[in-house]
Amino acid sequence: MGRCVVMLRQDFATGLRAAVPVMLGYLPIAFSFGLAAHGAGLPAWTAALMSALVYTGAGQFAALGMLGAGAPLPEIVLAVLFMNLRHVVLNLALLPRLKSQSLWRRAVVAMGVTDETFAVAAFSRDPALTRLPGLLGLNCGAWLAWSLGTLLGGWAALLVPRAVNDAMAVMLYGLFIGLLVPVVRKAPRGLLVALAAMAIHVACRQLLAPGWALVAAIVAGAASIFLLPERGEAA
Amino acid sequence: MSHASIPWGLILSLSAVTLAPRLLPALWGQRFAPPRWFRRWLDAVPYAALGALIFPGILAADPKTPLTGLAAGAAACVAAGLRLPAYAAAFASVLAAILVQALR
Repeated sequence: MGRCVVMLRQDFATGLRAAVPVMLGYLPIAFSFGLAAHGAGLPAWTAALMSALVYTGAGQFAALGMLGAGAPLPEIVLAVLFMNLRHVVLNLALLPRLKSQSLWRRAVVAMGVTDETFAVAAFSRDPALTRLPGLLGLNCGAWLAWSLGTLLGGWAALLVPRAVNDAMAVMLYGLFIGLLVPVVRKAPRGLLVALAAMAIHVACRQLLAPGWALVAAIVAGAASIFLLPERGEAA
Repeated sequence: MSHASIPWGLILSLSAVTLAPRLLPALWGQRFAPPRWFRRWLDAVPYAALGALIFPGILAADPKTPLTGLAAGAAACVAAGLRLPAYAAAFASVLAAILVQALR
């Protein structure tokens, strides 16, 4: 029994250590989210609560952008849902590792899976990360960094001068570009999909409310992948 | 501290649409494998989402002139092109916007 607890702790600690690079990556982005949320009228604690309960980087930034553009709630929620659908695939790939565990234990791990923690867990050779406590340690570290980073950013925003505050309206776009460029470099066909989505978005904004135009651009833009040959794509 | 009330409706509904896709596979177990075309489409969703989020919204980031957004976008492209991390691109875009707004 005692030895079992020690092993659980070791696995959890191994998971936390594996989370460190993810945490270092999350902190500045979460910090930016706290800053940007302040610009959109959300105080630090509200932004941190959102990070803790919603916990989806790109989705939270998208929601913030849509809030700023005055989109109504249902459109924001639908756009975020589409952006989160990829988690179905990530968890379908990851959860078979825990098939001996009970439903609620699998659910606790599933709630904390992100693109980054998935990548760490999927490519790690450490057996601790194939077990429940290891995966929990990994997920907890990332989640704490995301939530606390947001709080710090929200507080820091109170110190930012007015002129900088106005210029921060562009920060989200800078971040999106900063996220898009490296992934496109690895998968150039992603650039075609992104450009298609931009063009569809421009066209849809003539016809639809802003939020629906974004949803349509995401759904149809992603479907433009079917126009490209399948060759050379990761299965 | 601000006295604005917490937008629970927004936070909880966003939480629901984030939790649902994460939890569904835990409920399904191992029986369900999505068809190949669906995975292909899902893989493309992040690219489409980022593209649609960037453009044309960036042009209206500064309601006074699209130049601010264009300069910010160019600065972010340069930073990302130099393989700097995403938050560095974000801060480069803010610097460019401060510069444009100061020069106008």
